[in-house]
This record gives sequence, C-alpha cells and structure tokens, in this order.
Amino acid sequence: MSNLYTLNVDQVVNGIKNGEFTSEEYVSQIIERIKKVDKKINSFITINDNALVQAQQIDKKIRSGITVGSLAGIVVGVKDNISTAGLKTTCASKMLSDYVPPYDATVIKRLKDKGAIIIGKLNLDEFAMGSTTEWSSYGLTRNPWNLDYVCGGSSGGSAASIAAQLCTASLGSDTGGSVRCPSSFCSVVGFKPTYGLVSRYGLVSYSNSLEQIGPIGRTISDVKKIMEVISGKDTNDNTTIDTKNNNIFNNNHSDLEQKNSQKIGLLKELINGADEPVYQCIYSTIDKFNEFGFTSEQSSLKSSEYALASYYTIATAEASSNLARFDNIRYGFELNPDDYEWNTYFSKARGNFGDEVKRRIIVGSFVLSSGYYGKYYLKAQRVKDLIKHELKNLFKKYDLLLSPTVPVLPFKIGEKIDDPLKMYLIDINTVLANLAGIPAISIPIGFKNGLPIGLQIMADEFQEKKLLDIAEVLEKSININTPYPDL
Amino acid sequence: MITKDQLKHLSKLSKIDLTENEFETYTKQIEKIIKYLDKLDEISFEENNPSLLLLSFKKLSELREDTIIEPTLNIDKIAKNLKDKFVRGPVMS
Repeated sequence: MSNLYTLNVDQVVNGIKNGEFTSEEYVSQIIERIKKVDKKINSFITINDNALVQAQQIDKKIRSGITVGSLAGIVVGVKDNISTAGLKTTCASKMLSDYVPPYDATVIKRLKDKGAIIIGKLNLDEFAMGSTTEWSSYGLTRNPWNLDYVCGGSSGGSAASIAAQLCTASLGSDTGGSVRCPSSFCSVVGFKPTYGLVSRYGLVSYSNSLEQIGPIGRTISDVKKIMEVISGKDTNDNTTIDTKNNNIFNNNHSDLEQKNSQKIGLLKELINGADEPVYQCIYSTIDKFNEFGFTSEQSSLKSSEYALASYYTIATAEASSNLARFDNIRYGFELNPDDYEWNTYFSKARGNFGDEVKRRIIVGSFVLSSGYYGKYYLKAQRVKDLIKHELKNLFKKYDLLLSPTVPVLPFKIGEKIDDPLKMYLIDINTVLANLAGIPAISIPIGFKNGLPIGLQIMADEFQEKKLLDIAEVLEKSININTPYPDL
Repeated sequence: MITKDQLKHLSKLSKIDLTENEFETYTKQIEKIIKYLDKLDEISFEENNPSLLLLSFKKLSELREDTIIEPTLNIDKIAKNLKDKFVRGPVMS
C-alpha cells in the first residue's frame, strides 16, 4: 500500500486491526520516509532500531487473535528529554550525550502498554531552553514548510516530524509554550494540558512548577487519543490528579449543543500586539467562530504585561537548581577526571553546556542570590498568583480565551539567535497558560507567504473537554489548502 | 546593571567556566535580560491583592511511600569511568 505515512491515529489503528495493512508495513514505510526526508529537516536525534521487531510482535498478536491496545501500531516520536528505557535520552546536550535511561517515563510506559511503538527521539533546544530549536548540540531542526526558516521550539523536532509525516503523533514538553510555539510554526496541533493532568515522572526537569508533557498531532482527534492514554494519576508524580470520573476526553459533544451559550473572550493585549498578517488571520478565524453561532467579545488581561518577566524569573531560577546535578561524571562527553580537583572538573565540564543553558543558569543564580531574591523571585511568584486570579475571574465570564499562539510569523534561521531577549519575546502569549497551570492548544488557521499561523485557545483548569470539543468544531470549519509540506 | 565582576562571581556560584569572549558577550546580554525582568518593579501589589493562594496542600498520609526499584540495566552499560563497580571522579580537596 502506498503513502501509509499520511494516515492519522484512527486510520492506522483500524487499518492494522482490520488487516488492510500490517504494522510492519506501516513502520517500514515510516522508517523509509525518515531516511529520505529527515536529512532535510533534522528532526530526529535517535532512531529506535527495535521498532520493526515491535511492529512484527503486534502483527503476530493480531494474527493469533490476541486483543491489542487502543493505540496498537501507531508510531510515536518522543522529545529527547523524556526518559525511554534502553534508548538514549540526550536532552540535545553534550552533558548527556551517551545517557541511556534505565526506566521509561510514565507517559512512555502508558503508550507502550496500549501498543504504541516509539520510533525514536526528537530534537529540541538543549534541555528544552529555547524557542527555535537552534540551540541543540545535534544541529538545528528546519521548518518543513520552508527550510530556511526556524521550526519553533523547544519541541521543534516533535512538531517538524509531524508536519513532515515522519510519525503518527509525537510528545513534547511545554514549559512556556514549547509544544504550542513549534506547532504553530509547523502548522500542526499541539496541546499543553492542565498542570497535574499528565505525569512528569521521567521528564528531565527544567522548571518543575511550570512544565507539562503534551501531545502533538495532525488533528485534534489524534491529540485526544494520546491524551486519553497518557493522562491520569501517577504515584510517581504527586502533582498528578485522578481523572477516572471526569470524562475529560469522551466523544460526547453535548456541551456544544447550545453554541450560542458558549462565550469566547478575545484577549486584546495579545491580539493587538501581533504582527499584521497574524492579526488579520486571527480575525478572519474569529469570524468563522461567530458564523458557527459562538458569541465572542473583546476581553482584557491587564497582568499579561508582566507575564513574561515573571515566567523568565521563575523558569531560570528553577533551571539553575535543576541543572546543578549535571556533573559529567557518570554520563556525558569524554573528559578524564584524573588530576582534576572536584570543583575545577565540575566547572570545566559544565562550561560545555550550550550558550542558552549557561545564560539561563546564570540569570537563575542571579535572581535567587542574596539581595535580589525578594526583588525578582518572590515578586515573580506574586505576579504568577495575580495572573492565575485574573484568569480565574475571566473564566467566570468566558468559556474560552483566544489569542495568536505566537505574535509573529516563523522567521529566518539565525535572525534572532544573537539577541536572547528578542527570542524570549516569542513566548509572550504562551507563558500565561504555564503560569496559571491551565490547558491551552495551538491549532493551524492559515498561511501567509507560505508560512504557518496558529491560534491559541485557552480554557480554565481541567476544562480540556470543552476546549478540545470547540477546537474540533473550528478545525472542521477551516480548510487549509496545503495540508502537507512538499519534501 | 550587571558588571563583568558580578558575572564572574555568578559563574563561580553556578560552577560554569566561561571564556573571556563569553564574559564579554554574556555581560551585555544578561544585563539586557535583567533590565527586562525589572518590569516586575512596575507592578503595585497594594491595589492588586488577589485572594492568595489557589494552591492545595497534601497531607503526609497522601504522599507516596518510597520503594526501591532496581534498575533493569547494568550500571556498566549506562555509566562511564567505572572501576571495580565504582564511578571514578576527580579529587575532593
């Protein structure tokens, strides 16, 4: 069969179960496509050599009449900061260049239990710190829609591999927009769940109080299917909650029957701050929402002005603490410890972090240091509470809040790399959801000059069902004429 | 304002060796970042006093009981610089 790599989650699962094609045929086509296409975009760091064997095992089970899981045969790419037993997890850093985790992250275990095949590990900004995937020590990932442009980050490999049809779905991590930004830049669907909905056990920590693992797919339905499997209580992550009775992802759309009772707030500070093509595209999408019977009106989030400063204070502070553990002693690049004093070795080895990681650790040390802690870190925490409070009030009035995912179009590779602050400003719309711990999704809504534009939709905490259902209505109404990049 | 001397102190605290070139570049870049973070000073919390906090606290009885999980892979397969089942490190002064 030809072009199996174009299929979505349901089509792959049903096709294999119904005997239209085998899991082995599907995985073979994907591997062939990765070999052909990935040299152009560089989305993979490691390919799983056992993927084909796992596919054969699924085929064998189906032939023998053994029940297989709900995701049997789909191929999932995983951001390389999520632990995979027996498969290298480098965080795109020299410091973990040869690290092979002895255990699976909870999300990986849950996917495998349902029959998903981990096809490989995907590129990212080193330790998930960046917005373009230019900060990887394995080389940058290119945007599949235009190879001269950035693909967004930090989960750039996870988004680019979906756009390039190199896996059925992928996992990223989102600390300040790292799933949504590359999804917007690559014209795919990226979802950041409520904080506590998905276990972070096995995710290499960057900023624990903000980050969540989230799925990326070609459709909202694909993202839902992954969320159904990876979400829920995990005793290895005490921030997780039990979702058994919440029906967060069921397919009953009853909430949408009264569309005109659904109120949508348009966050004016975020929309008005966008570049002209993004702004125009957002408003033509809002018109479509209104045509569908939803009610939308301008809303305001005053504290959004301080969100980015709060985010970068908290994230760098937590990064400086979390990354203190990396000493290059057990894993990492070759640097013989003989004849070194401990601190000298430690500092020399850690000098091999990339520029962005070094900068963030140093900024984090600064905001936590004596005399500055109250001025920066404590204040940032209070702003975080204020944002959460203001958003809570907005969600009393509105079901969903809308904004551009990223206020600018994808830009050329290297354009902002020498100016960290310009790079940080890319996250200005996405950090809100991380600070407030609420769910947010980026969906593709159009193109300008061949470059994708994404819409961000946010909901109150644990309102994923409402968020995904309404996003699905919109997805069906938008007909993007160029569904896949020509690679 | 971040000076080169402050940056040297911070790099020592963070245990990260920086080259002279990096000191030059980072001083300017980090100064710009910190200046942006100073935005936090503009906000007054006297008029903005949300009903803090929305956090929930767990009881001790709700916390997981730790169990020891033996790794399924041998240490010699995942770690480098091994000698007699120990990881070799630099000298502690």
